[in-house]
Amino acid sequence: VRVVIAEDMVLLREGLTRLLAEAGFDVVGATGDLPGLLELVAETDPDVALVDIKMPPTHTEEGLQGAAIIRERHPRTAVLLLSSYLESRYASMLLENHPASSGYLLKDRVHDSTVLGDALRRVVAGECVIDPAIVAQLLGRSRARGPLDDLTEREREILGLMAEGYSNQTICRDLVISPRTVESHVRSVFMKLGLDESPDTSRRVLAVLAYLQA
Amino acid sequence: MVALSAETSRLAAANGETALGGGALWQSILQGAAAVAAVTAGIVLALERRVVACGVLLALTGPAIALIQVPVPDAGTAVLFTAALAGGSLAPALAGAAAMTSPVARFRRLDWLVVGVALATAVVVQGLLPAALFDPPAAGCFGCAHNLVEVHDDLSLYTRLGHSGLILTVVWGVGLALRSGWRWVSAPRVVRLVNAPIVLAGAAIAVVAAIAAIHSLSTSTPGIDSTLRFCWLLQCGLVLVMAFGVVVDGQRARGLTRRMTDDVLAKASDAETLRVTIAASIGDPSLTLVFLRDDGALIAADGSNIAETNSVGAVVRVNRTDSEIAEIWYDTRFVGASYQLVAVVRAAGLAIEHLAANARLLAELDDLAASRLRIIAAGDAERRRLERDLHDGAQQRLIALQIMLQIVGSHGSPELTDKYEAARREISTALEELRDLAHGIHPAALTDGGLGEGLRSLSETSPVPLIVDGSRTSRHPIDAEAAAYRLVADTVSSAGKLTTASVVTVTLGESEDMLRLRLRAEGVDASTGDDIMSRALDRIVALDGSITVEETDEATIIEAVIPCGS
Repeated sequence: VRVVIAEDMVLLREGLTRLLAEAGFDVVGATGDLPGLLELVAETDPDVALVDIKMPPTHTEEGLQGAAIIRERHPRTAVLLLSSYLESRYASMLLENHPASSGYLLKDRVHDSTVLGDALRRVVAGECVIDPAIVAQLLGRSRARGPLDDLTEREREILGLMAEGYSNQTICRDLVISPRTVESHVRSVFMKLGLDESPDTSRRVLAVLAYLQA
Repeated sequence: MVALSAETSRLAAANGETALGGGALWQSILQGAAAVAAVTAGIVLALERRVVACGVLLALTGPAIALIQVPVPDAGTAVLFTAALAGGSLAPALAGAAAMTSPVARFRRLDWLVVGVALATAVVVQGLLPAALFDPPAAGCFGCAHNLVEVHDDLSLYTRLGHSGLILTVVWGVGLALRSGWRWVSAPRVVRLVNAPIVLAGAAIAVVAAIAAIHSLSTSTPGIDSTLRFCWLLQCGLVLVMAFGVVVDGQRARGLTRRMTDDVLAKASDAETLRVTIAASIGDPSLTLVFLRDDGALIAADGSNIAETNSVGAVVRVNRTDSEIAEIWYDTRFVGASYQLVAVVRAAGLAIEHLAANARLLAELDDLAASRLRIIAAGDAERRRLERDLHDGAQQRLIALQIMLQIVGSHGSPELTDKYEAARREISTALEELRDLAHGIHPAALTDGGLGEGLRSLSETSPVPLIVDGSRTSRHPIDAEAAAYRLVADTVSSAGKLTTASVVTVTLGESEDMLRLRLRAEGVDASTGDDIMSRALDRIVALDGSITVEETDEATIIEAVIPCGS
């Protein structure tokens, strides 16, 4: 898997480069800002871009802009956004236009090369990835009584996994249950929440996130 | 002056036929009185009323009148003879010039020209030049005293100069009368009223001077006849009218002060009423009353700052105990009535002093409010900076450290790997705490996304359900957004500490210049509501906003209004 890295802090950029190289990824380039990233992607046509959300010049949402531009111009290149903000709004902004092959991962998780590698491989495979901490915060927020309270323990678990971007196949593998059982759980969740079930996994993530954020 | 007048009167009485004004007692008294009155009125004008040019010219008219009384052929001493010879035509020109310089209108180039011709005619053409050419014995006057300024004896040139002087006198006499009359007519009413005696009598003196000159030109025999004598005595009477006008003005100003004192005390309790009252006294509706702070900065009655360029032209300064406390700005067209205006302002002194103190106090309150706002804004900016520093600095370094530990650890022995693993977990905990800390200091969602995003982000971490009614995207000034956010954040965290609290609902009502917040906190008691309000009060009041708390059976309702102007 060919990766480019966009991260303005040199120490972190070099660390990530080494870490990914050791985990068997082919790091084809690394840069520190948005124009550099766009250039690098155009030059190397990587499988995935690992992008810090805040970069020079303004240190606000360059990563988000970069992700949108890359997904628009290079549909073959997946984007995994790195952020130190536990903000679900960044995740929804990222998925808004191009939910497939996009991911939002908290930076404090990247030191674990298994987690990082797994997330990279999933976005390359076309899935979308939402950091579990974001989903946990959304699921765990205090809210007035509503349809969420009617879900069973297992249904909540499956809702969480769907929000993190997992497909039905991955869910049945992770939970060691049959595909048929997963499907019936998913259908039940959508019915209880009053959502239309989408066959597309990444669209499904958007719908679930939107529901949880509301 | 009185001595000169007495001496010339004595001479005139002794040689009545050769003195222009005649030698009779009443004639002497009329001329003497005119001379003394002109000097006195001129001094009063120049020194007390600051009408310097007009005052000086009028004051000089006095000695000039005295000189004309001298019977030239019979002037006893050489000095008096020479002075009478050279200065015999000065008085009407000086009185006319005084009328022209009375401040009824702006002094234009034409006015300079007319005054210049009048004075040049009297001083040079009819004064110094002929005096320099006049030799008394050659002219047949053997009894005359010695001419001190004689340089050359030329009787024919002397005669021609006298002729030219008369023609020029007709010119300036008519010109000066027309100009000063026009200036007077085009002035505002109050200015006309105040300056009528000086200007009109002065213009009349110029007309009489022209008539006398025409008379002299038309009679073949030079010398003093009854027409010239009548003209001169009439001019003296007119000078008395001018001086009388100055006295009347003083009286009128004093009366105005008295009347205004009662007026001001009776009704001018506020600045606008006082301004209108003062403005009405001279009839200038554009008149403005401004106050001064200790540093000289100009403020309005409500304490707001005023740009100096607003000044319309003329200014009356109001001083109290060595420092200027107020200024009255008025149209320059009314400068001619400045003495009246000063009288009115004197009457309003106490009221102005009171209003000035009030305005200064209000300005200081404004300063205080602005400084409170600056302190809060600076605090918020510092919070934002701190949040960013934690995220971009400490957090990034910890993450880099984690990655390095991972890289180093993966190459070491198994027990070392465990130790590195434990260290990484510690760092993870530190990172979580750091993130919570940064979020608590100032949420990034509020900075980047505005109040709507900030509240939505808050609702994901709130200890009690927080429902935000209507998601808004419009941005407001960061101070206002921060104040609103903190009120909501404080409400949910206070509610979170109560076991009775159930749901907090925020309804945002936004407009261009106002942010309205309605918080309904169910199960929150009134005393908690009061605590929330008192903590938010400083911030919201600093922004000129307001906050109220109301308790119903099930909920406490907090309502805040925050202006977002500028």
